[in-house]
Amino acid sequence: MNRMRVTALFSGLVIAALALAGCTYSSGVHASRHTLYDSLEGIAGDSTTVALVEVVSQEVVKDDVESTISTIKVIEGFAPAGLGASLPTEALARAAEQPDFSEGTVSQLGTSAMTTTPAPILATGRQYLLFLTPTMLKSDGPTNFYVTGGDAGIYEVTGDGTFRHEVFEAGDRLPTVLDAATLGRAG
Amino acid sequence: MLTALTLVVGLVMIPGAAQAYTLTGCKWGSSTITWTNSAPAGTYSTSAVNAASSWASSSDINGMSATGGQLKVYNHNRGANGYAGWTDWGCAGNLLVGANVTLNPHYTDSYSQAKKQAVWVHEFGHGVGLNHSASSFAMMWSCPGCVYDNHFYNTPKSDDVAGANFLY
Repeated sequence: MNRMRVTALFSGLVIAALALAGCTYSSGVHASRHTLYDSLEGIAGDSTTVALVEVVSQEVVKDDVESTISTIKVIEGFAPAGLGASLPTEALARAAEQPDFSEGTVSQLGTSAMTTTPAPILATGRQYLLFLTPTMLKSDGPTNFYVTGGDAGIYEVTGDGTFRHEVFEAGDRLPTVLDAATLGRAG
Repeated sequence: MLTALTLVVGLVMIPGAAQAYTLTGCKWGSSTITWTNSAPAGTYSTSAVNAASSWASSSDINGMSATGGQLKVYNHNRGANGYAGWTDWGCAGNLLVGANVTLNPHYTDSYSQAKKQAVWVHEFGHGVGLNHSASSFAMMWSCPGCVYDNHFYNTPKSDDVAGANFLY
């Protein structure tokens, strides 16, 4: 029996036992960053795509930990200075396989049902400015992404045409407000 | 007058600066914590053992021996997700019923054994109930690999120990 089945079986038994005992069960995921970003160029350098997207659907996938896979539709692409400049050639080659994609997926650790996740889980029907990087997993293709820097690469869309990220994780020092002029429109 | 005001402001600010740790809201029911080591043999397993031992030797957590338990340690390659490691947990009320501590070899394969230990220390911290610290000198800072790169730290520091001792 593999680890996933053992975990699922254990979780199911625990939840059932707790329900019988009348206890509340909660779960969460915490994560440690590989890199922190102190500039727009820094996070753009680790991204192959920066785009205004809309989340059209979602599913929860169980692996070693539950993850949320969001299907995104690209509304507008941007080309900030230094885009992809820090990435290894394999990542750039992966992205180059499908440069003008209009739909893709974004995977995030955790689910919206958890009390804590490393980054806010995207919501279906909402629009975001996302900094994205290919997952680089063998099972995935050029349009299967992670958000660069987890929480760092998610900006909310405001009503005034700007993109906003109010509170960053300690250590990230990125602009709280971005606009299309700063990001530069993709050709 | 100015000196007195400075002293008062200083006294108010010092406790906040000294306690930057935060908590997940869950902890184990006992300060004697055992764990299951499923990390690959070699630098991963050795650095995990060293990380667990460093928590036991520096805090009021007892043992931290790899003799089996619902705190489990793994490797899992999730690709370029931006995270060197993560910890998922389940909690009944405020007591942990299980936690999985995982390193992401997509990044950590290039880390030295000492730097891997820094990430294990951080993830074990999550596994016992600590959240991220606002102090860049704490192992529970959001990027423990950065703490290692900046200060060569890979054992719990005073803020981490204060958090653990508050819980246990």
